[in-house]
Amino acid sequence: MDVDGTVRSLLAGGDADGASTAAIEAHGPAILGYVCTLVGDDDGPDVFSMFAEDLWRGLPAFRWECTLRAWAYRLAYHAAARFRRDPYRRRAQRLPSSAASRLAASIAASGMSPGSRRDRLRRLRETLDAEDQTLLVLRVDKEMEWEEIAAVLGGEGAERAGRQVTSAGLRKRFERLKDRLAELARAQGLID
Amino acid sequence: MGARDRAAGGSEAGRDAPAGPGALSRLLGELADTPDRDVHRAWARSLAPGATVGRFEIVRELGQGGFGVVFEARDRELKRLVAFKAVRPGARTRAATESEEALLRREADAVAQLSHPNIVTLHDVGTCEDGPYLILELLRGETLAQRLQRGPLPVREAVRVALAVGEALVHAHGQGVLHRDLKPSNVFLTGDGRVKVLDFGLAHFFGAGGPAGSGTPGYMAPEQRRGGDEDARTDVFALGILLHEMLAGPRKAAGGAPPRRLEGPGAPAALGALVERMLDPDPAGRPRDAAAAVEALRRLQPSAPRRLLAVAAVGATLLLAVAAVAVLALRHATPGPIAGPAPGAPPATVEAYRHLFLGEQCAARPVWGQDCSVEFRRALELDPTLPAARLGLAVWLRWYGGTVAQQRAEIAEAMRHRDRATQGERLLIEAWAAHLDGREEDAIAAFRAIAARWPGDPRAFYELGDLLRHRDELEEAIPAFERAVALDPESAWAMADLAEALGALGRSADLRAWVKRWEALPGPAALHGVSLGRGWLGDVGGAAEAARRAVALGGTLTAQEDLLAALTFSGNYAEVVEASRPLAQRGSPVRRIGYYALAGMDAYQGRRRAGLAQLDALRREVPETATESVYLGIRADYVLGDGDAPAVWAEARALQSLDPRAAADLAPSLAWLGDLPHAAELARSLRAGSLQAETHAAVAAHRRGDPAALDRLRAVAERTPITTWRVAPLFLYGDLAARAGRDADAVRALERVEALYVPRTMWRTWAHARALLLLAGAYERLGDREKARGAAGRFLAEWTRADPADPLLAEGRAVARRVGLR
Repeated sequence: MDVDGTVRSLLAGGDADGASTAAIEAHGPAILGYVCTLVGDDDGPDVFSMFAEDLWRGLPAFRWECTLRAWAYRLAYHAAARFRRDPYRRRAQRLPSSAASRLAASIAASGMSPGSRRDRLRRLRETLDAEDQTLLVLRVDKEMEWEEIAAVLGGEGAERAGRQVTSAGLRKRFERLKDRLAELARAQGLID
Repeated sequence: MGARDRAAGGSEAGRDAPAGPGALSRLLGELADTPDRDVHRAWARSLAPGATVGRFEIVRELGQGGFGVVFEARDRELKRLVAFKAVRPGARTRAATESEEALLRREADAVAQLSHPNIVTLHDVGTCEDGPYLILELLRGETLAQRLQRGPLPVREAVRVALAVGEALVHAHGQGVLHRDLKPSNVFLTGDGRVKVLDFGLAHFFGAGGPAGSGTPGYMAPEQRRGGDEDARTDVFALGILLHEMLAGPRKAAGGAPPRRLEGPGAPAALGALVERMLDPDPAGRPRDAAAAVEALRRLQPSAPRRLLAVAAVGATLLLAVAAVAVLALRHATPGPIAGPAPGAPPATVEAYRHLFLGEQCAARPVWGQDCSVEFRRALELDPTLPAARLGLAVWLRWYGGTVAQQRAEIAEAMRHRDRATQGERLLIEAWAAHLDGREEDAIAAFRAIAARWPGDPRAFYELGDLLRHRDELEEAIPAFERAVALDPESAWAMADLAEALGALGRSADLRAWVKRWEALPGPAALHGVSLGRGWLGDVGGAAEAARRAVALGGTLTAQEDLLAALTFSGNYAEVVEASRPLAQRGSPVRRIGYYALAGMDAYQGRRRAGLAQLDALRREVPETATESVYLGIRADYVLGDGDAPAVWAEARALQSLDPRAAADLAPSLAWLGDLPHAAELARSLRAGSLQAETHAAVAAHRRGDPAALDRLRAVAERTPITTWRVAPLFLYGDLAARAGRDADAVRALERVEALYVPRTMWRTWAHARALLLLAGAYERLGDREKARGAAGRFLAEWTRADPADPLLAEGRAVARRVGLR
């Protein structure tokens, strides 16, 4: 049975905890990687905890209007947005114990020397907003169909904001994103 | 397929080329690359080496067990190494009913009972930001699972290990604890040849119930797999599998069906037969308990010297391996008011936590009349610097008999040791400190912040609601109570307070919906809400029926109290007296309740002197009541019924010395009696804009002759008809309106007062009779003789055994005569 089927049957049997566990076991590692991309390795686990709690709370009421995977990414996307908006988080910047440890942490985090290809890639990635990053990750790395991505980036939040997220719209946006990235990458010498 | 190898957007073929169309694909792949991460490690990251939790510094991770990540940690105070076991963060997502806290508490409770050389010792329990943790003895060696990876054990060694595990089980079973998850990874072989059973995380007390099927599939007895009845033989079965694996090596499919017998050469036939018996699918076919299994193993034990066997089996190389758990000296074994721990008793700190847990459980779901402070005090006797116990005690004392000074002292002490508190506890301590300092807004803001930070914890919601309720802000309190009840549907007091708030504010539809929900819940606990809800909805018969059902279902004193409330409300005072007498007797744990009930029943029946004598008797019999603000407040409420302002002022002054704010709540009543100067003096301690301040201002202005004051009072009282502890503003208004000749207004107010389901409050014990007479008079003047007769008739029926000298009796007879009853 696929994950969706397993989760549905656990839910049907009244085992909401088992269903959440199965959902998180199946999609958790990929989602954690995704949220780390959005908010960084330090805060990723916190966002992941928020996502997991949201999933646990929301799963019994999930209406299966999209795939479980799309819904999970939507929760994670919103958890990351919530996390970034949280003024407490913005205030509570990590306080390294010394300049040396800060430097060490930054080197460890980047693992690259300034000007290297990886460093330029990192800087390029940082120019993307969360929605573009999500679009890129889901389409390229997770190989999602446009409809599934629309389910992730659409939903109630987008509707409330008066935005319709459609496959066609996403396709256009992705083309524009590719053009922009290509231009930036050329400017940085990443591609010819 | 890795991201780098993939086509971007599904339209371009990826190639490892720096230029050309593939270059963009590759770039996009690199940008989009988001490798999967190890969820458990991510969650546990904050407990990484170098992190400190309280006085423990995490040294390194030792391994991940069934329920937790185990770290080697340095106790910076005691300068020694311990095992720090964080309850597995990954368990969070499954923690709906079996929360981490519950797991921890169960483990702590169970292990705290155990003291045996073959059982790992638990030394301390705590909670850090990342969740609960256990401090265990640190052992060096390896688990049996690790050992078995190198092949089976020699027969002698297998028998020795099984015997040691069996002896541990005998001890645990003797304490009423089942292991339920015995397997090779839960048996530890120390470098010096000792055998320790780990992880009583799933253990539970016999008959206490537990999650069915929560062991490890490959080691579960058939009855455990089915979720059927478990007993000592369930662990005997697991021991049989353990023995089987030690002799035959680990099974290939460890999660599959358990073996039935020991096959192959090597083991003595008698041992094979014993293993087969232990693995009998029918518990009745197994040795009857662990002791019987141990006895059988002893008979099989070869006669070679044990020590030699042990050393040979374990081997020197194992000394390099490190894993959880070894013994820490008692940290808090200092002799206090109680003697030091008895031989074999669990360490004091664990005991202290046990009592703290019991206190918290008691306070979270208090049984009416039960004194939860006993548990907090016991915890503090064992560990005087345990801030959570100080907090628990202070909160308990706030509503149950303590003085403000006592509460302040406890909170101050908790503040002094707040470094030992968890973040949540620290915030709660600060919130209560603010409350006790009179910084109410800060306290409420703090409770709101705690509730927002821990939205799944009913405690902060209940305490927020309770604080708002005691400020008479019922409308604001309702959402907090609703949230508390939603999170803990059997929380007795949250249910009661919610029913009261909705009922008092006349929100019948909402209350009806809650009653319906409570009616659908099984067991006696929710019947508390049903009974009170029905009472507030005017269905006293239904309230009594629910309470009787709860009593029949084994309900506690709370159910009995609900029944007495319903009986009181319907005027069955004799029955209430009969039920209350035993409560007041010496030896009863709830003597105050008994005496208050007896005093109240006397007052309800017009025997005011007898009632006061009951309150005097309580003070004599339980001398500490003399300094309890609850007692003094109830007494003042009682004395108010005599209409003697100087006597009330005397009571108010006694209360004022202990708790000025509680005394201030008497200001409206004292003004109602006409003692305006003293009322004004008391009112100075009232919070500006509060219900009581507004009630006092309106009553005092009315008594001074302000013609608009009565309308102001009506507006205040109709908005919030009752106040916590003291006389209902709506009664004060109804009484003054009747005396001012505003009969229609008086009738409206007093009818509503009579419907307030607060039969056990002391003010109602006299206000009820007075309301009946006021109503009778008002009905008569309004020309409704039928209703007038009804009210006067009920008064006379309830006052048949009244004190003949009571002036209200003469007044009642006069009214009765006027309406043609006599």
